[in-house]
Amino acid sequence: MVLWILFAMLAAAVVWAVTRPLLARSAADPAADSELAVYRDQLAEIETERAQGLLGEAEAEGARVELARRLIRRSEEANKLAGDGAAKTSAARKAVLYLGSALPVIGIAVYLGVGSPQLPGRPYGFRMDVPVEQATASDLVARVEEHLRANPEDGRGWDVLAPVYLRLGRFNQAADAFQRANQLLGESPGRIAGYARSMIMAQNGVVSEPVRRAYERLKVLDPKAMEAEVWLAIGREQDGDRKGAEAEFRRLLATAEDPWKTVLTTRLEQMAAQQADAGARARNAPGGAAAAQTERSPAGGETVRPGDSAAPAAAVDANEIAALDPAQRAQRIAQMVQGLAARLKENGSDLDGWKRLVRSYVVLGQRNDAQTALTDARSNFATDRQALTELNELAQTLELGS
Amino acid sequence: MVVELGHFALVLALLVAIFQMLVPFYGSRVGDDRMMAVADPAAICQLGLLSLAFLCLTIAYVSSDFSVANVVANSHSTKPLIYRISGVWGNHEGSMLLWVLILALFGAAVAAFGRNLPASLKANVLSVQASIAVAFMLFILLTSNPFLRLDPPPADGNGLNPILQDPALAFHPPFLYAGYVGFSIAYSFAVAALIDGRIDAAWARWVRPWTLAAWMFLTLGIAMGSWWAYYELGWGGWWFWDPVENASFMPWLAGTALLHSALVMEKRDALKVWTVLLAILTFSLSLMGTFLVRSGILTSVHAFAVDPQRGVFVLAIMALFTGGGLAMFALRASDLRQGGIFAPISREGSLVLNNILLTTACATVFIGTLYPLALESLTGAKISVGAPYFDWTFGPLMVPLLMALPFGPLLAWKRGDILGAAQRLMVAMLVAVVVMAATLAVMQRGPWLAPFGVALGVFVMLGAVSEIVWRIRLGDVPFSDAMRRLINLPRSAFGTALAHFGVGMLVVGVVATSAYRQEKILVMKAGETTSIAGYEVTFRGVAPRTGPNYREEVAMFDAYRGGTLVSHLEPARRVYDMPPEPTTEAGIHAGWRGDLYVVLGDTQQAGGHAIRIYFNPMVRFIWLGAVVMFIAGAVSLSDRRLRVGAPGRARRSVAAAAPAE
Repeated sequence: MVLWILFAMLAAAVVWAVTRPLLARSAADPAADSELAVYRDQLAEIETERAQGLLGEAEAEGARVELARRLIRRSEEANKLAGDGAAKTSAARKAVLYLGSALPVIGIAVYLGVGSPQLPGRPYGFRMDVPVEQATASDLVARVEEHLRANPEDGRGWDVLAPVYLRLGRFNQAADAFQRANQLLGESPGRIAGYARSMIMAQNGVVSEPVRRAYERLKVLDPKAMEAEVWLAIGREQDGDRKGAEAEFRRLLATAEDPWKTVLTTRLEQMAAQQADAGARARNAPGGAAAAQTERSPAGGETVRPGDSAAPAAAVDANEIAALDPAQRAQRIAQMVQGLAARLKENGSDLDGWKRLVRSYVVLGQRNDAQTALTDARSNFATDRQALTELNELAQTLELGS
Repeated sequence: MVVELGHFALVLALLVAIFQMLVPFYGSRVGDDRMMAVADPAAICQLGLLSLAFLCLTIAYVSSDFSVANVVANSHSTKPLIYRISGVWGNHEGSMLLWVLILALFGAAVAAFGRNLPASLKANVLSVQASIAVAFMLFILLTSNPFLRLDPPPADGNGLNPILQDPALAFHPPFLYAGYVGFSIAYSFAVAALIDGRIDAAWARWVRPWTLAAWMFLTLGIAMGSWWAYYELGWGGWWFWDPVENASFMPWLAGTALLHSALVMEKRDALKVWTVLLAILTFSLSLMGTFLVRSGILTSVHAFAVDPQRGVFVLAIMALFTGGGLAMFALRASDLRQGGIFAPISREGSLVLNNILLTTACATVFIGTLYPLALESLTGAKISVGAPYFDWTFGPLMVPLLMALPFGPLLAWKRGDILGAAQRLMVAMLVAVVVMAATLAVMQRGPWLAPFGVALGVFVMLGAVSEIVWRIRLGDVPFSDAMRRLINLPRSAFGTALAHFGVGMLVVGVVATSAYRQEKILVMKAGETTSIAGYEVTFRGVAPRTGPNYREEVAMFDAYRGGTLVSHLEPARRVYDMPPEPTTEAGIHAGWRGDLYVVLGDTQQAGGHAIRIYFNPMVRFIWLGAVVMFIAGAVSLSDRRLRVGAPGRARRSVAAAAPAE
């Protein structure tokens, strides 16, 4: 209600201001007078400049004559214009007056089209005071965050917040929160696992060194943690140790229960399929042997990051791909990567595309190709400092050379 | 609620602008002074409404109201207050709102201070001005509305690009926009004059203060951008011929030419057609600058709006106003009567030379900036036109301009005496030659053209001093007389001399720092010392530090000169919390000879850190020169003559001199 009263006041002020001159009495045109002042001033200036020696006597005289001519011409024009009266336009003026008064109506109509008058403002500080039962989830998160900013030593707070972050897809913050809670409250297998999961999600399924260390630690604390074993094996696969990974998968499969059992079976199937596929290709294509050797299976950690612009498309692809049989699946993935590479070759300005390509190569285990793609990407963004920084970060995360 | 009030104010402002565009124009066609008078309150209303809208958006930013999509995208609750405020225009939508706010500010200034403008001219000027506002407000409401809401609101925002979190950059856009938008007044005056088909010397006098003000802001805005690039990007460079920089430089070159040709027009009624054309082109270049930066055509820090729909919209606005202005010009220019005759060697002649060189220089920058874009869109080939192109095209054009510059103010109007002027510049020339010899003797290394460049800068500086000395006849008349003349000298004369002095300073800074810069890239371990340009620089080590919304790794350096400690330098590498992006902060020691500039690079695997150390001789002269030019503009603006068309009309000296006719 207050909002509408403010709107009305604003609109009334505007109408009053813009229509007032229409109702006023007609005033005389001060134009001639003001222009005359300028000319007089210029005459005076010629005099000063002559005195200062900036203008010779003859030149000053000439300039004065020129000025006088202009002045006469101007007053003749002014006389000609003066004939036009304003009386005949009173009807038009009335129309303009109505138009001016209608401005608020049009204004409200346009505003209702674009605005959201029903939404209350939610300033950050104000959100702290909303009663708990009325607060939205994000209000609550904001409140805990605010509390932790003041008391960063509160391990309980971090412990509560960390899984929420993970669910919201804020993986980096989740990893940070798990780590802090772990430091403040002491180690717990749950927190270590949460940290490792957040990190894997944040890095699109790559088992990086911190993740490996976290899972090693988890194995010490909880020797039966299947999660740690499986991810460490996937890490080995990503590092290029296919044989070792396969042996691990088989060993784990003996004791695994669902959901890990399914994961392991799928991985093994995929590995077998790729091997078959690679073997076939090596036989068919001359010179394909080398490619077959370097070809690696996509790792199990193919996660789709929420918030990533490519997420919906990738998710569809992932479902579609999951429905294919293993051989087709490997082929389809290789095709997609090739397609991406070809597209980027034509138009190299898509930074996210380059990052995806590099990442895909790494996940496929084609580190040489990843390196080449990275170099190409860098040369494409040679002048864009921010892009280069992002690429360097990527290289660092994926442990590629620079 | 605050946000919605701002939104409504923006909608109302658009309607008022439409009203202001149509009614006064119609009034001036039919000769109805009451309809023409609508322009004034409408322009002031527009300013009030847009100020309210901008204020509301600012409140949303300051209070971190994350129900506003624009705040979510560009702010964060932990950001320091000043960057929450500068964040308002540190993004596409907010910066466009600032753009129209400044446009309204200039329009309202014409309404408030243009009391003595002929009614029909004023009505038309404000009407044209409103048409620009309408175009940009439609652009905002249709494609880049900063007041759109989110429901439910997210917990926190995404933060502002860390390299934009910087004091110089906080104020760079407002100044730059004040410059760009200020030229809209010159444009509106030009189009209004073409509508009336009548243009005279008085017109030039009314246009000049606005152009001068716009030029001042643009000068300072560009200088701030360059200063920011210098210390924030960590390359020690101050100008990169980056398309975004060029986009602001082109209106500056055209605006400088406009300033000078308007002078000829005002004093001598000559160069009318040319001045009107320049006024149209200058604003068109400003629009192009806006287009290049806002459309996302250039991939750079500045192009936060990578959105084709917006690009096409701004392109349409640019085409409409450039095309419209030029079409009016083509239709009406022949009606404009030429005045004032002058000899080639005269003040007018020298200003024509200035105009030719400046517009040619502007054209070379234009080609260098747009050619790669055109080529890419036609053939897909990516080429980059860099410093070498500009060094070989822009540079040679500047040499004759700078050599001729000190002569201009010494020549008389209508017909000048070039030998006399040369005589008066004798001292300046001699000193310049001595400086050239001294530079050669001290540096004893290439590039061999550099001493000439330094001497040219010195010549321009001393030429400006010579002009004042000659004007007050120092040496010819008794000293007390000379002092009296100095006091009576019009302020615009001081403005001219000061601005030219600033140009000279800038040239000296540019040449010295480009030619004699020293650079060292090395790996240093804590405790090691290296020497550069007479400084001994000791690396003390690296320590972590936490800021309000970033964590940084700070390197400690001590710089010694002749055994005494001169400065502590603390270059750093920062990582911001939100968004988590790294930036480098250079450590700079500013001395009179130049800047010692240290950048901390990556940590090496073998231990130690990559360190880059630069010595940039006289680099501060570049920005000092720009500041001097800004002050010169202010001095000139305070001159009584320029206020004749503006409020309190000065009659005092006029009455005394009038009987001369």
